[in-house]
Amino acid sequence: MRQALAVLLAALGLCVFSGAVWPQEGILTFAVEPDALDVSAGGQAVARVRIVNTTAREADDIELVWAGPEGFSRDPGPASVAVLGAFASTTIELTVVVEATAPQGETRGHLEAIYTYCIDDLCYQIVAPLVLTLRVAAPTGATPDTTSDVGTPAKAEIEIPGRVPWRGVAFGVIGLLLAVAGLLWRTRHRTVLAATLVIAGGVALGLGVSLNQHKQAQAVGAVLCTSCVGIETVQTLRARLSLSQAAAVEQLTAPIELLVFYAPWCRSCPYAEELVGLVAARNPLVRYRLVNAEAERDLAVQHGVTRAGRTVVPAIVHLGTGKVLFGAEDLGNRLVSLLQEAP
Amino acid sequence: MRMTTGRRAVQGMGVVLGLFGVTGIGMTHILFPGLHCYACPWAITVCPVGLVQNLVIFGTVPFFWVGAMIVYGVVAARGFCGWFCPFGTLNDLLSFRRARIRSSLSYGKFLILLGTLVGAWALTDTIFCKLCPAASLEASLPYLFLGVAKVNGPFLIHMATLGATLLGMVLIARFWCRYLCPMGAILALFNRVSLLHLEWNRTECTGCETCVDACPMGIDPRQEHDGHNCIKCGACTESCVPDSLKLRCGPRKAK
Repeated sequence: MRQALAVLLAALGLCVFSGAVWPQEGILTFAVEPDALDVSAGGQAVARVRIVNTTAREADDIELVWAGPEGFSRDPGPASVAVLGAFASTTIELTVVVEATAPQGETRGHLEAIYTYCIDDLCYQIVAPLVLTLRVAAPTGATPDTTSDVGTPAKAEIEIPGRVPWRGVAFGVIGLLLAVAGLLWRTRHRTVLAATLVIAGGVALGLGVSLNQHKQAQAVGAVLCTSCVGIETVQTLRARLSLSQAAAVEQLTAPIELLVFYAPWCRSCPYAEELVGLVAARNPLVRYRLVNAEAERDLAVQHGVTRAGRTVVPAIVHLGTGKVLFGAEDLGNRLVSLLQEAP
Repeated sequence: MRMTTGRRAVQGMGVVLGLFGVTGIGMTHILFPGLHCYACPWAITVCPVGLVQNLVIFGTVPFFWVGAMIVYGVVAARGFCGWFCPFGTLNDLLSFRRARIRSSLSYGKFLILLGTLVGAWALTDTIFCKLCPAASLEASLPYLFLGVAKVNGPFLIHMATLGATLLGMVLIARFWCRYLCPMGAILALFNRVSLLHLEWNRTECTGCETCVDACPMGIDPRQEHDGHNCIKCGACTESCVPDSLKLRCGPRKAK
């Protein structure tokens, strides 16, 4: 038993230490469609890049940059996404412009997907290379082909700007102290062992506070995500409106404003956001605003999105009636009923 | 008798701190040294088991969490189970049968801790919270009355785990603490070094084994007081007629 505990403690130390030196991984996956794009010299074709966030973090400032070869370029129009929420996905359409002088035949085009994400106050910029096969034909008769759906998974390359060296040292100190504690575990030097653990714990606490992890702990506790503690099941399917729900939405004649409260790490929130987006797309009289419940707690209190002091997400507020819908279970029907209520 | 009274008072403080949100104080940064659901409407502290799952999901190296657990571990380790944890207190109040089951089942709590962490990593979900009987009692039921929760599949799963745990508590003293509690597993790692500790004087012991009968965790306190199952509740010290077992707080004497 004691040997097992010693090994466990040493392993914990190793894990903490490796957390300091392990390269930061990307949080998005990319798939380029089609995998081969037919285009004529002097013409242009459209490729789609599907982006999926596989984690509970927000990705910011996602941008696709053409990285070569020469003779090709990206259309100067926007090919970027400001924010991609946790577990969300999106598709960017990218117009590839081929100069008349571009070499004919099969060419590999290179794109770079650049984005950032933050863990506490440490932010990382990730550069993910993407490859697109271009089949360049003579200047006449070529048409864009966007029907293929085979994707090219990208491998993330790592760039970590701005990491403060003393934090790395503190990582190492904690790992080292825990490893020493692991080695002392079976000996009689329990006072030394306790002192080693106290120092390791103090350094870890200090480092955690400097990384604002205490605020992260508070934020996780202050917002109640209905699917996170088993009040309802997680909704990860794509949102859709049934024919009857869509018809009911289209028949609305009065303007309606909604607030959709979410938390970046709430897994059911993208479903609620997408469903409200579908409703707004069906009827322009319905307008909505997304509200980060962690950042705008006062607004949550003002609109009754709290229960016994907890902000509950996902929550949809009808500003006309003041009524609030909590959770994502059977949300389509509940949302339509909410919209049909007169102020 | 005096120690039991003092322990009940400290346990009462644990319950009061657990429900301090009724005063209107919101969530703080404090990690609770016991199993107490942070989703409870009146909680002002963070459940370490719930938080560590979120940190695993976020991919955060949990320095704050590790530091807090080490501090709690060095101070009292599983003494928090015996003296402070509200769910431990519930176990205590329902401890009618002091069954002595000496089996490897008590390692189950380490497996549950491991499963909790692996589940959070592999499924990016707080799986343990969805089964946790403390969450059933402190979150699911209150939110049902607050109009947030509904009687649905997840609610019924919570009620089933709560019912099974309560039944286990009635049949076997400290059932949850003995076999299943992942928070107990975390604190148990530090039982060997904690400042709150039991001392056994071999020369004064008469071998009457009343301490063994008194132990709610079903262990032999003379041999296993530094093991992962001792919650340092002091029941054995009270029962010990020759006073060979003592509960102390401070640096340990070299053996």
